[in-house]
Amino acid sequence: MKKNSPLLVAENVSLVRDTRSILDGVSLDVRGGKLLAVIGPNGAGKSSLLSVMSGLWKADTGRIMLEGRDIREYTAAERARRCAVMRQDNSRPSGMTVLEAVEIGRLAHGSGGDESGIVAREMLRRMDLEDIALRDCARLSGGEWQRVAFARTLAQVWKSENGGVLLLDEPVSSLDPAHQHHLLGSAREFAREGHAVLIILHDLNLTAHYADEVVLLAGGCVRASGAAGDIMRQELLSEVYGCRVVAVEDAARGTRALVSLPGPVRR
Amino acid sequence: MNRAPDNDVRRRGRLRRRLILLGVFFPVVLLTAAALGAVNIGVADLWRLLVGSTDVSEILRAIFWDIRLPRVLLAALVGSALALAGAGVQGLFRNPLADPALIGVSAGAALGAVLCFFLGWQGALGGWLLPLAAFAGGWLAVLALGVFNSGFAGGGTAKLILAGVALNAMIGSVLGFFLFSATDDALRSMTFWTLGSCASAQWPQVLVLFVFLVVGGFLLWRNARFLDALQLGEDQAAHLGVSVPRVRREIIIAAALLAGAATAFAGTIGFIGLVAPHMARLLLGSLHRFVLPASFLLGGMLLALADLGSRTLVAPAELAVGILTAAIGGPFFLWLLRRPSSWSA
Repeated sequence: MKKNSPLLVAENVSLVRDTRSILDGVSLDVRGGKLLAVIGPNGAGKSSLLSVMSGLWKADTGRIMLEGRDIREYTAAERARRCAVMRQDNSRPSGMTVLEAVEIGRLAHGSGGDESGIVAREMLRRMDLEDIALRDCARLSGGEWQRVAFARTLAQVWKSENGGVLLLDEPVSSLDPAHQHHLLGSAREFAREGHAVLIILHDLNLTAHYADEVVLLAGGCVRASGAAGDIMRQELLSEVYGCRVVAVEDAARGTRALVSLPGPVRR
Repeated sequence: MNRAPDNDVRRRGRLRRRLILLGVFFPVVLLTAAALGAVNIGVADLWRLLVGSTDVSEILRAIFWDIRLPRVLLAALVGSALALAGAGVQGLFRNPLADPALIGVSAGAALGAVLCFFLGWQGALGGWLLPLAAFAGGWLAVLALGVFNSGFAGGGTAKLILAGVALNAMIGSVLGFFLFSATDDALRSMTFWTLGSCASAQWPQVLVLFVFLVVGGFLLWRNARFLDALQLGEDQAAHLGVSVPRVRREIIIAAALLAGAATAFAGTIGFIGLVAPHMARLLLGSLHRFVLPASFLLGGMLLALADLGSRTLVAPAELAVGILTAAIGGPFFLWLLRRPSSWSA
């Protein structure tokens, strides 16, 4: 695995939709071995950035490089073997079991069969989903479905020879706190194995805990980027989000939690 | 904890057994339908006919080989083609109410046929002009839809559905004009055509339809796994490695080939394309490698039985088969809906 080498790179990406500028000169690197969080207020362009970075949309200017090659030059299957995306708007396939839905993650790897079943089961085991392996996807709770979608996304780049990139759009939005930690912990573990992981997050506290690097988007531009410790500061976040963000010390563990509170920003 | 994989193996075995069972029923139902009619053929005679024994009367041989078998096979192939087209279109549109008619192929075919009757040309080319006109009409409608939607790629699937609805309405108004202006005789022929019938069946028609079924079936089958992925949404499917525009194009071409050829030979037959894929899913889950073959088998059996009813219920007259597809398929479908879906854990 190519630890710390940039696997997915956005070079000066701009996107315009109906004369409105969605992204404006965004550049960022997603490196092997690192977990990169993209945060920012609603409408900052986070999900659009994900659609461009995954090769689904074409940037109006700039380009996306996946392993040193323009992402638009890959075929859909070549791209899918290297870069897995978990979108927010996954629809649930009714009548399909959880195991079958996770096996679909191996679609780009060939004819299916035993290999995809083995990988899918391993992912279900990792995500503690074995007990519901045979349940109809239509009967899952929102949180269960989100964990299934994550398992499928992991399966897609599992044992990828080329490092493998994960792009996750708010993967914990429906999860209870314990499962949020479990999923983000798995994502970080996956990054530590040499993969590159980009996660769009809203929860500042989780971002501060799990991200190695943070990109703060606002109004389609990179407002700040760098190591998580440098970006996740009360003053900067309070200003960008327009609400009070305070750090609470957890003396027993020697860690800090970031929480948001109502009321005007204190200067 | 490790129960799940075992259960999965057991579940897949069960699904496979159900599919095999349907595959066994298929020839049994078809042979039964071929044995019944104005002259009933007993099991012993049926066996002699099949093995080519000379112990059967010339008349019985002619009835079986020249009349019954081509008709039953045509009915089965029409039902299979419509069901396959329906399974493809429902999978593509992720819409349980989608059927082949949605892409305009049935309305276009009806327009071609009605035009033939209107001009009094239904007997031309030894009777082949009528299916040709219907098939061409179906294809023109699908092409018009495709051009409108810029090659099926630009507009996206949601717009394609709405464009199909508009196209159907427009063709419907032209159809209405011809029905309104037709002579009483032509009107009667048009109406019967739109209710569907397999009475024109002869071996050449069976063979032509079989070729279409092979081509269309192959196009669907090679996209079976992509159809599975499309159930997660088009964008997510693209991320999983599906070339969505190509799959969309191939599914629509396959559905137009299948439904167009079926309609050309048997008129417009509703219900099968809509309901047979649902029956397949209720019995075998949602993976298209099960849904497609099961739709083929169920659609074929349903229409073979409906055609049997159309030949025998009011003999010596014939009922239009379109009247019976829903009458036979409807109760069966309701029964399936009531069963608890036994495959889920």
